[in-house]
Amino acid sequence: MQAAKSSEDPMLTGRYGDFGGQYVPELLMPELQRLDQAFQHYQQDPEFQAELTDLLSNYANRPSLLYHAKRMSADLGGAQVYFKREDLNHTGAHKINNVLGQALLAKRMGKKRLIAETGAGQHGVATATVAALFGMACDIYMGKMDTDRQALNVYRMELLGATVHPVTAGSMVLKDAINAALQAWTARADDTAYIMGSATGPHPFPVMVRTYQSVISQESRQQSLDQLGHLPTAVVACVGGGSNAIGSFANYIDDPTVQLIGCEAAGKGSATPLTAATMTCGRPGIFHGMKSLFLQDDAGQIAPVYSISAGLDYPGVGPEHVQLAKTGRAQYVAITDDEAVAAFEYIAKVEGIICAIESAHAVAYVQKLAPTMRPDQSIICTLSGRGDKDVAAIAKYRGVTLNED
Amino acid sequence: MLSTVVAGDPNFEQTVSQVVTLAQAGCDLVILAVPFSDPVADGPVVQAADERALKAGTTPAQVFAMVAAIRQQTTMPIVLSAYANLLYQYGYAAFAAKCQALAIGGVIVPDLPLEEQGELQPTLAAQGIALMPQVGTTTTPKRAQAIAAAATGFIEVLATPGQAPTVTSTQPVIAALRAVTELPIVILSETTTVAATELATVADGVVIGSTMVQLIATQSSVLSQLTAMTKALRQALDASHH
Repeated sequence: MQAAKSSEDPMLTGRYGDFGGQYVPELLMPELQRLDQAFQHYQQDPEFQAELTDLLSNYANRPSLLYHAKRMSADLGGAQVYFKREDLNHTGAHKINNVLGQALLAKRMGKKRLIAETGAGQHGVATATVAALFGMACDIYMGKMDTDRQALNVYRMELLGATVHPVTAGSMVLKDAINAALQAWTARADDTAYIMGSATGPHPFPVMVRTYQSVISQESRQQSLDQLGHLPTAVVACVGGGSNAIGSFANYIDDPTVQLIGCEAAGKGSATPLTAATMTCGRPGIFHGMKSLFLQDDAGQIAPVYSISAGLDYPGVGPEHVQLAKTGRAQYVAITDDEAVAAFEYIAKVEGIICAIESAHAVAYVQKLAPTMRPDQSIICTLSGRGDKDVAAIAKYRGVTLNED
Repeated sequence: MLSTVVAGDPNFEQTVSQVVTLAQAGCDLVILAVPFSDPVADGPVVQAADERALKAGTTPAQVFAMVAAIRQQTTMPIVLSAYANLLYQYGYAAFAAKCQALAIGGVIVPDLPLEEQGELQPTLAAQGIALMPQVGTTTTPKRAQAIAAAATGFIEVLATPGQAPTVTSTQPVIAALRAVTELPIVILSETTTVAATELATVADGVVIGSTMVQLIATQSSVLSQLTAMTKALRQALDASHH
């Protein structure tokens, strides 16, 4: 990245090869340009960086552990498996890293109110949490399907002082929530910051989210050198929009010996319509402010998507991932619901960790990859979140009835 | 007077009749919106119309067929409004050629701001098709003038969502545009006859947007209602204009 000429640096241009850009209504452009300028400015501001580091350490519980999963490594009989434990962060997922960064930026820009979209509710909870911490108003947009499925997270956000708006337009899921949040931001940007949850959307959001999430690989790279004495052989992370994956990959992109592998949600299978496997099945297109890959029909209407994981249930993917795949720097694989649920149960029994169903997609690939490797090789797998939120859904998947009264 | 119609709401035949009716009643130009699954730049009325049109199976190819049918009955200018992905999937060159063949004068792409227009504008220009930009009432004079410098066709002024455009709110950006361009400037109005006639004193035209889409959605005798509304607006605008 440092070697790139400024005319090619995505940090400044928002372009990753043919992908990225700022495909938004004109009414949003002035605010996006203000945001870009503020972001670039505060990246160079030592006081801002010190305050962010303090929040990450003393509020979000960073650095997160790099944990050697010895039982799982022995059981799989190949590479040494390490987990980067983002599930141990405050609010239980990697989302807090990005929200603290964007919200601190919003505060510096004089904003009094945060808005965000959320699918399963993790990003909404993280945004509501930081809004409470900063004493800011908070409105969360969430598809009506998701507010019904994730009633507990809706109440959690309300406890934190946020107002949750169920979105009844379109298919009433994450993509519709993003539409509604973008519209709300267009209508009221003067006192309001939009906190984008994934490495998607118009520039500068993909570079901002990458920057604030790259703390994951900044830590894991150093921890790997300290604990293993060398860099890992492979880094594995799940990919929906791609925020934890880009954060997990960022500091290894210039280390060509480190394999980077993203695991997307195949749902019922990437050959079926019930899938969210954008890298496998998507075509280039323009949506939600970016040129990227999207699941869509022949005419370009955005397709409904499906995955057991509400956090991977998005018809697009961050533009940098598309470029990493195109150049061959990273590989992307699709993991089905069945494989993810089996991995969810496996890591619980073998390591005593109930991870998020999103993260279980990455664990499922580690189960396939590790046995093909030597014991002196190593894999770092990011556990992007904890799985308490998924327990009821897994029980349902297995046909178990829980009495919650 | 300009009017927005969502193509395919509620179906192919009725869209054709609606547009022809608008032309006969004195509408100067129709902006035919190609329905999209996720119309982020539009309010709830147009979103709902897009959903109905997509349920009826409307595709960009069918919208071109509608224009061909309309062209048999009227030469009124027609502009297409389409989200960038629909043009991108159709192919920019193929889209431009089709517009040229059907005498579609221009295209509005709501999610293609100045910074991204370079990938489409030359292809349209090669076929003589205008790429009509939008500016907001809060767009800075400097930015509005940069947009005007690249514009062809006409320039559409939009208010912040939830706020009706007024003479006062649109005047600054219109003044900035007038300083650098001779192109017609129109205001998107979601509004009544009185407000439209007021806006017509500062602009070269008023686009009747969601008001028309809503009328099509809710009225039973749509064509006679469209005629009545268009004639009333036309008269009022002619009376107020210059």
